[in-house]
Amino acid sequence: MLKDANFLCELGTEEIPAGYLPPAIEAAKRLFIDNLEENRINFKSIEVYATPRRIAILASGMAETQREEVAEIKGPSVKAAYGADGSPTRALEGFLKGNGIAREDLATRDTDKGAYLFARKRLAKKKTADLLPGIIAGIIAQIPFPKRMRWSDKAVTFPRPIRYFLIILDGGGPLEIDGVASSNKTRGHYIQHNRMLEVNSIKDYDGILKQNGVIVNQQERKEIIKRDLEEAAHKAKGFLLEDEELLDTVTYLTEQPSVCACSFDGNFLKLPDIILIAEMREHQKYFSVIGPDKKLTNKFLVVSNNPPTPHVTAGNERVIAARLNDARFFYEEDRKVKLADRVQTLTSVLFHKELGSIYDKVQRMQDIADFVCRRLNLDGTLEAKIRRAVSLCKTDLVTAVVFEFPSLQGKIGRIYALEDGEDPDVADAIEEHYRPRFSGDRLPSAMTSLAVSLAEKVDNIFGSFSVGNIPKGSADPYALRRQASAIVEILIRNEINLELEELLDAATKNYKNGVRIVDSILQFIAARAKTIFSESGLSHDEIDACLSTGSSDYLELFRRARSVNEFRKNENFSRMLLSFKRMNNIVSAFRKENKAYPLSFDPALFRHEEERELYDFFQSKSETIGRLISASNYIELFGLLIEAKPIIDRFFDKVLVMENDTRLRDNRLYVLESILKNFTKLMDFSRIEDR
Amino acid sequence: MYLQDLIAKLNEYWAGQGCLILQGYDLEVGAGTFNPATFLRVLGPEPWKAAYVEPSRRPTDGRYGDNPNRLQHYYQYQVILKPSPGEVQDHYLDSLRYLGIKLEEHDVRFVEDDWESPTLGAAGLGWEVWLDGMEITQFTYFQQCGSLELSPISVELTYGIERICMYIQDKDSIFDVLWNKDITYRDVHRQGEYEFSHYNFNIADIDLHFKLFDLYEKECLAILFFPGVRSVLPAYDYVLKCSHVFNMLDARGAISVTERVGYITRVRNIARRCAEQYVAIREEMGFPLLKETTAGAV
Repeated sequence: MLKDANFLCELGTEEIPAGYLPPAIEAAKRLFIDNLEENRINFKSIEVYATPRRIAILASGMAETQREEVAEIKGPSVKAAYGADGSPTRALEGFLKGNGIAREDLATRDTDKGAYLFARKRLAKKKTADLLPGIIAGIIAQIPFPKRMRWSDKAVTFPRPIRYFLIILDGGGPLEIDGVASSNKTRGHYIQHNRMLEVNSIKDYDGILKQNGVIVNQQERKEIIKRDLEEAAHKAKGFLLEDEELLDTVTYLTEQPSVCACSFDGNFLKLPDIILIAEMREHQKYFSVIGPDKKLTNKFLVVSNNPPTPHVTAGNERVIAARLNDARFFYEEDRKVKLADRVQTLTSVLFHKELGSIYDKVQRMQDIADFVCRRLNLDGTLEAKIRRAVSLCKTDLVTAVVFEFPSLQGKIGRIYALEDGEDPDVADAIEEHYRPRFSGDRLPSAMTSLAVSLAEKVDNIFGSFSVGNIPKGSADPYALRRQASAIVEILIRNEINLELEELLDAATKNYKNGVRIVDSILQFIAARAKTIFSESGLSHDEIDACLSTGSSDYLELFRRARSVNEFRKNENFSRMLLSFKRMNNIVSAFRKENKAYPLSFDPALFRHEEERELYDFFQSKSETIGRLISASNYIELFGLLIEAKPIIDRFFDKVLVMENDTRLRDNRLYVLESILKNFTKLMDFSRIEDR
Repeated sequence: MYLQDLIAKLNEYWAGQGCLILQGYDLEVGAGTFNPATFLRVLGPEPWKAAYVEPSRRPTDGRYGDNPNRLQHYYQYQVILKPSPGEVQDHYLDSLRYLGIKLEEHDVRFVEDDWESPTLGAAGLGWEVWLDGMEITQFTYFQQCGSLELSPISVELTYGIERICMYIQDKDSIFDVLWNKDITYRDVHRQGEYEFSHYNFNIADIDLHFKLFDLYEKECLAILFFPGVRSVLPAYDYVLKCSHVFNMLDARGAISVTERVGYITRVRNIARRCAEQYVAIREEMGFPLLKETTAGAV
């Protein structure tokens, strides 16, 4: 609890949805701080606490009155303030009257828009108590809740009805918020202590609530629940199946949490664990218990809002029995038809009204996956697995279990596939092709899984772009940005070379305006790649130098950018860069004017030893260069450039490239261009900054 | 406590809270909300407090009388309070105490559940009420009905009386619930569950029901637009008939996903016209209940 609080406001409400409260706590705190600062009310510290039935704001060190402040206010321009005869205009009179200022308080100052009048004004020092009703009403109106409602004949909106206001403020009486008078009364637990309770001093607030069945501090409730859950699991000779999200939910579903250990008929354990857990967690908010053998047990834990009694245990056990009976029914119904026999059913499931059914989607994914197989030269066995996985990956959408628990899509498909005798890689792919499902989620890594995953994401993006669902600003309802990032990350993390442009080109026939939208999709993906590269510590010039080559093989682009980043630490880097840029500048300046000009070469035209030296050096290394590039060994490649640096420098010291004799000039340009050719397709060195 | 006593107790309790004790409507409805005593009365400014048992039909929920928890015909105990009183949660909890449930020994929870009926153009926010993990009541603050924004707001309490009775009588199957000391729910309804499940899923004439939908919709509009006489209650009956025929077609699997949206929109449109006409007629009458409000304090 906040120490030495001198302000307390508790909003008594009916049960606010659990998911609404954590963001509301943050928002209320921020809004309150912003409002106090804006209103020049000093304070030391602010805390916000919440249970399903109350939101409490506490402040310490809150000032009784506003901070004194003299503000400078800007008036009309001198030109607008005085008439031709020097008398004040109506604009000036209005300004003086509106702010209660005398003419002699005015000062003239030059601004970039000309001369203006300014006045210093002592801002009023209002009492905090007089400002609070407006501030609190503002917070009530501004907390961004997912949904709000009205009740009775009131105009105010909130996620559920507000029943009372408790406000205690040193030096302030009851306040009126939205037409409702506050009091110094809070309310106890809605069953055990359902009455209004007087709070005479803020320091008693926490204690009075505790005595009356309410732990107002969410952190305290959470710790109690966690401790009691672990203890109960231990007593049941097992371990708690940790579930942070569920823990947060029950923290905001209870005011006086206590844990009640229950069990269900062990016969249900024959069902897949994930179905049992989903029934318990999603429908009933129960925690599961794992045995010492790491297997799910028939014990479960209920977080009750009342001290547990035999009624609570019996009631919850009866409910879970009915639920698990339903689950068994769904499971058994599902198992009457193999996944492979559900493929045709997907024709009746709509994916998108312009993009057809899920079946149509799977066909498009099949084409994309086929291209991936060909391009990566995957062997026949692997290709067959990928084809199988694509055809089965959506079949669990037409099962009763997924209808009941959409969150089990993919997961139950994997289990059913294993039961059907499918290859384990195929089964895994059914689950893993949805990954990553959220930022930071695990990426698919087995080849079968990642091929299906790529096909799924490419189809989602291509399909959405083809029907005009393109993310704009912060609006990205289909999470296409996440999917584009996922494509790049999957390729990089699994070290897969794939030109996405070729992949998209091969898929255009399946999408409306396919050819026309490829470029915008590539740009969309490139933007995500930039973010990923930069998040992994690469700087913008390293990224630009590589991405501007036009390649869409993100693994290779990433490797190159990382090599530059790495190689930069070498002290010779900037000098090498200089020599390299020198060669590059001459050739590109020439090419700018003479695009298709054929350069010819004849060793007999060498006039300086330095020319021959440069030519011979790169000639002798040409095989090495080829090998290093195809092995993506950019560090050694750059090392070679450093080795060449003195040779390049000597060349420039002695040799004039742009000789009047065009035969000599062409010969020298030829040498330079053929050296550069190997490097410029890797990255645009001119974009790398010299630092 | 027998099922019939539970109903009697709830009537007694809510009558004591100033509610009119009404009866279920005499047409097939999917829930107590469809009864004009809720759907129409929540519209406009007039206050209203009523409670009644609504026999409700959900053809798709039929299980031939085999499932201990699911029925295609069941009962709702419906309470509608307009405007929603400040202490309605406490009154509701007291109604459970009145049924003899010692709340101090149970875990009663108000769990978020936002409700929407696309066919009625109705939506509300509220909870499902859990008693030791079991859902026993829907508790909804209506925000919209007949596609009209409501003011004032009504609150609707819908008790699942079979479930509460199963709980009180400690039965695992609805069919074992005792209606009185001699007769069970099975004796009263099992045959109906079996026969209607068959009828709803296998026998009902699809063509006939498609025709009925069109005819009922036409009749509804004919009533609403009949020259010279303004009426709404007979027209609203045909909204209910359309809704039930739609549910029958749904149970027969005769309506595809795309057609579904179309049929729901058609029902919602005639429901909206009825809602508008009802408010207009009540306004012409000077909103009579605004003056003589029903007695009793909630």
